Amino acid sequence: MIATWRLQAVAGGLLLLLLACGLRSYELQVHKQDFLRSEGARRHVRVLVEPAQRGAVRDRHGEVLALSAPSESVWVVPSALLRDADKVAPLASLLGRDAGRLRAELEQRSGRQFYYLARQQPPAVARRIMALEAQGVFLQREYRRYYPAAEAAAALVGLTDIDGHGQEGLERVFDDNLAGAPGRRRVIQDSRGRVVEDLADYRPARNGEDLALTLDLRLQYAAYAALKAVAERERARSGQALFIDVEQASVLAAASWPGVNANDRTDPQALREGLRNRVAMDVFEPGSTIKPFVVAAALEAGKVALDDTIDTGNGYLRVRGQDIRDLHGYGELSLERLLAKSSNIGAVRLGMRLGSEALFGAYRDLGFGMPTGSFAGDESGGFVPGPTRLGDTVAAFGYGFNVTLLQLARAWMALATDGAPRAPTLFAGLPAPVAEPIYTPATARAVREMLAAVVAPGGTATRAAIPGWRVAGKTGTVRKVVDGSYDAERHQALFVGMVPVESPRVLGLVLVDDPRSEDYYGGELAAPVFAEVAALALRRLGVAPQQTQVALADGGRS
Amino acid sequence: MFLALYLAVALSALAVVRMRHEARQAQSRLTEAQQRAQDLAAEARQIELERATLAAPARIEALARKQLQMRTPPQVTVLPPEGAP
Repeated sequence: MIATWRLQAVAGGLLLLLLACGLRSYELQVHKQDFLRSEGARRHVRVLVEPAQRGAVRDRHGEVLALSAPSESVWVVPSALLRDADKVAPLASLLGRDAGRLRAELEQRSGRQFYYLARQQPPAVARRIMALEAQGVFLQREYRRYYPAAEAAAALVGLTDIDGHGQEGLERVFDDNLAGAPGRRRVIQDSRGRVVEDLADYRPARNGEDLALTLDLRLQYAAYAALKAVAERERARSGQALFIDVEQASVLAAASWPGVNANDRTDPQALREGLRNRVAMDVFEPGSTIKPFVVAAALEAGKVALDDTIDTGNGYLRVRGQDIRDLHGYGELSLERLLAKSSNIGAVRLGMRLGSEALFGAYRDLGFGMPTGSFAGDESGGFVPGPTRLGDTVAAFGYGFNVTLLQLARAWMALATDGAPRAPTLFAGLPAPVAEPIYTPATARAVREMLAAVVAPGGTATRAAIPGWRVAGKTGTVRKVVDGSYDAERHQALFVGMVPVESPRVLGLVLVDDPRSEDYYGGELAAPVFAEVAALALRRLGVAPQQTQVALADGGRS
Repeated sequence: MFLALYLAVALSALAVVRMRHEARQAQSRLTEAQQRAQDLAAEARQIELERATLAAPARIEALARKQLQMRTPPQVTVLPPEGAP
């Protein structure tokens, strides 16, 4: 028989234990409930961020200029990885790094819970890293920006930083549209990291929109390559080329040299230079490429008739304290010969007939001094002084004011079309703004016919000729201002052309800045670049040739 | 009577457990499918990038000149389309 006291003692002991259990459960369930629940949630409720895919930048045929492709960033919990010591060395070798240095790096940061070991690795490398099954090593998907067109379009497209935010060029201007919005989901994960339950608030990722340009990547590349070839040969300071589909008033190619491959960002100086969108940013004096507009304005104002001649004398004229010179004394010149010989005196005489008020009025109508807005980003406005300051003399042959290549293109659109200076568009589906005609169609056509003589044998730009099509154009060889005065040794070689003459489909402008050779003339340096790219553009746009012609290909590139 | 209710409660409890389990499995399958859709979209991007890189004009030109020994023709004949004036 068991003693009653023992029975009571056991029962009492059990009761006490039960009470302790009850108390503990009270403490956990009621007293510490909030704390425990939040701690539990912290271990299992996760906010997953789904990165949004940045939109691509494409040309008119859907070819890629900028694209985000997936990559994996490797992040670690340093202390956990250090505990898995024998995995550090193979991991270092996969990343191409020194094992000892990697270990030191991890030890230095052992207090942290998150450390990027290597960002934006190709998926294949990431898979091999995960196959090591090292402790505390995780992947995070990120998108990496690639620029397949590399240096050919860098100045136009721009670039993003490593986190995918637009920094320069179109990437910056259209950042909001391209970026999209990352999604978030709050989920419960089990111990193996699988999602078991989606909690209520789920916001799916919204991918960025693609940006479609009117550019033709093939032409963009051709323009850049041709520009680069001549600029490197001539040891020029810089160069730019702009080609326009006249019918749609859209940009086919806009190249700036020197370029930079935006996939490789090791040289910040080269990056800054190469990302400068010269077509919109660099201003220059347009020189002789302005003369057709003086002729057109004089025709429109009735100050000269189509069959008039202008006396240019012996090639020297002094007017209002300015010395005006031609290369030779040309005597009496028809308007066509005036443009073909690019007579400064002829242009000044026409400018004086117009008067400085009307001449500067004509320049304003062409849009000089006002940005075009064509690229939607940063743009120089150029500088046009008031009509009284430089009068009608030097301004009549393109000095004393400056323009960008985009502005010059807008002005030339007036001659290429039926008189309207229309700023070209760069964006597919966004038509170029309508512009009021400033010339009658007859004037524009007459000036185009005159400009065909510039490219015909005996003109200043025979090298702009394209076998099979008639070309009209104008050269310019502009002295540069150095330290406040014009330097006889420093030039800018310019050519502007359009083809075919009767109804232009392609307008092209080429500028080579500060070439170092003896043949620094626009007709020698810029005109061949025009011919090469415009010929390809005609074929790409399917413009039928006008005449049968056999031609020896140019001795230069391609 | 009491037994019947007891059974009903027990069965319903078991059914809840079972449904919950199924819901979680379905959720897990959905997530996997979404993940796979994302992976495929990412792969499509990767392939598009590869194509763009391989088809880059600079690369094509270099290959044509070096590997295939191609040259710019020394002479070009331009013919207008048939029936043109």
